[in-house]
Amino acid sequence: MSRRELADAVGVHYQTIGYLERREYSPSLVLALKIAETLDVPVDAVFALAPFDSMADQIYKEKR
Amino acid sequence: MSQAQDTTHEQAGKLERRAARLDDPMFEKYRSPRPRRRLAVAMIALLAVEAIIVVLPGIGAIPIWAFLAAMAVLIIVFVVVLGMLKASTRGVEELPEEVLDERQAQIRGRVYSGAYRVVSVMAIVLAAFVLVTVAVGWAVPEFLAIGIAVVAYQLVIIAPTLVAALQHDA
Repeated sequence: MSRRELADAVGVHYQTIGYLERREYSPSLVLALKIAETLDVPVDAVFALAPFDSMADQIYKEKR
Repeated sequence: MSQAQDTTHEQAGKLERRAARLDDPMFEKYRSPRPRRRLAVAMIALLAVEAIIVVLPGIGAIPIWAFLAAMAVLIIVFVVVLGMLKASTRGVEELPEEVLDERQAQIRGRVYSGAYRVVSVMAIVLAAFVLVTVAVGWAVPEFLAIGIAVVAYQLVIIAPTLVAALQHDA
């Protein structure tokens, strides 16, 4: 799914999705829930208070 | 559909079209900090030029026809630069919240509080100027008073756009 498609689905400007990806903007709860619903994942899979581990770290930890 | 609903739909359509125009990808090259700063500086320079032009006929430096011609050119350039500035910020300072998302609405609030501070400082400076002229008994020439009023009025109008252009995330 492209930024623009996600932005259109949740009703924000595509630039706002970029700000969320770069952690330069914290969304409202409503927007966070809409994004999670659109991506069909729980909200804590997309947003968390602490930064997520990188993909490499997650795979490495699983293997250990 | 009632007439009131028709009017509301028409207004919503106008706003959507205005938002789409200000979001036109054609203006993408102006949407980074450096070009926006340059446009903001150009706008301030235009205000300074306007202040000078308004004063010139009053001191007899140029005839009235030259003043009118210079003002006509200045207004055209002013409108073009202001339009580019608004497009560079996607019009967050101009558009109502209905056509902005939550992040843009937040920026809009910040821009207006910044513009309020700019205009407050200008009002204090003007008030101080008036108090000083009264205290020293200086009769401010009419052309100078008109020049100050015109430039102050235009600064009030463009302050939100200037502040928005100077914000890094607008």
